[in-house]
Amino acid sequence: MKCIVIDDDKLTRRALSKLIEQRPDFKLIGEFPDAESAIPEIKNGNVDLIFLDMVMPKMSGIELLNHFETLPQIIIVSDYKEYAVEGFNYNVTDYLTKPITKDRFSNAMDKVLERNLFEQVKNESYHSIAVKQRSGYINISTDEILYVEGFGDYVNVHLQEGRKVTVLSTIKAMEEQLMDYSFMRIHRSYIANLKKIDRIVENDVYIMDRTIPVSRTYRSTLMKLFKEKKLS
Amino acid sequence: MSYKHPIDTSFISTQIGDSPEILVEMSEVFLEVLKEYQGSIQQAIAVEDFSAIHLHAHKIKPSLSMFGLSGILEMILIIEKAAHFDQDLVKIIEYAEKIEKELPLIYHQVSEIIEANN
Repeated sequence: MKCIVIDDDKLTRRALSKLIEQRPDFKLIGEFPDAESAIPEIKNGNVDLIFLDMVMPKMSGIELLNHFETLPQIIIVSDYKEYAVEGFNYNVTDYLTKPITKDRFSNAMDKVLERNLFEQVKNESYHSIAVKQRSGYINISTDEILYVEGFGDYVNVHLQEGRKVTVLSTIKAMEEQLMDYSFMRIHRSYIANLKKIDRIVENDVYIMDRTIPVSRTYRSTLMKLFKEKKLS
Repeated sequence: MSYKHPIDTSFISTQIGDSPEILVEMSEVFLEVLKEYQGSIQQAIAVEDFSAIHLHAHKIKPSLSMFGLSGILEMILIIEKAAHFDQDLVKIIEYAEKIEKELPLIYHQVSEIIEANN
């Protein structure tokens, strides 16, 4: 997910950028010392998450929230506690006080992923992706995909009913292509369709009659998302 | 050398990242932030702009916390409160001067951290 940080406090911006770097599922695409300079980037529609300070010169965080009818997910970053309450009127995802701690940051990011997944599942009816083979492009319904397995310059897309499609792509490119749907990278070489997971036992993910590994980096987020999915 | 307000970098290493590169990067930014604070609060005091004094005092707090400068943070809280509630310029000047006296030693410590980890 692509995120930006809007905060006039330089050290908080730097701390956030370091924390974001440690999350493989998030990418920092911009840092802004004031709200006004971030408006074009938000308007581009390229941002999935905004870390937003509330008290800034010229335009405040609340003014920025009022500036847009629809916004990506927002995490308020402020130590004025009154903004926590006000922020939730704007349906923000979470609120972080400064200085930001690793655990609170991690919880907030998990909330972002959970909300993102809910939105995807809610909005998803039928989707397909175009993938490249030696003979040309073919369309695959995302609902048919169980998981994707990477092998360097190509990937195997494992489908229902034991079918398999070999695609000229990398696991990273497939991750980007599938990120708007209910898929998650769970290992250096695997992407799983969260809707198809039957169970997770220790470091193994069971999808129908298959077993694929989940790495330690992704396991806790996967467990959270999996539990939410089962409850919903 | 023992300092009256020793810097503690454990927040950086435990909460942001435990590497010399991160510590150097954060320390360099901290130096910039402190210098900006110093210039802006002096300017705000000179024109008796209480809301600006309050804002600058408020904004420096997380940075001081990150570097474990609790003694300086306490003085900043007094300035913040004096600007926001009491508009007490005498108290603001008193504590701003106290901090001003400590800043060279803080700069010195930050430079030492940068040098030791570079």
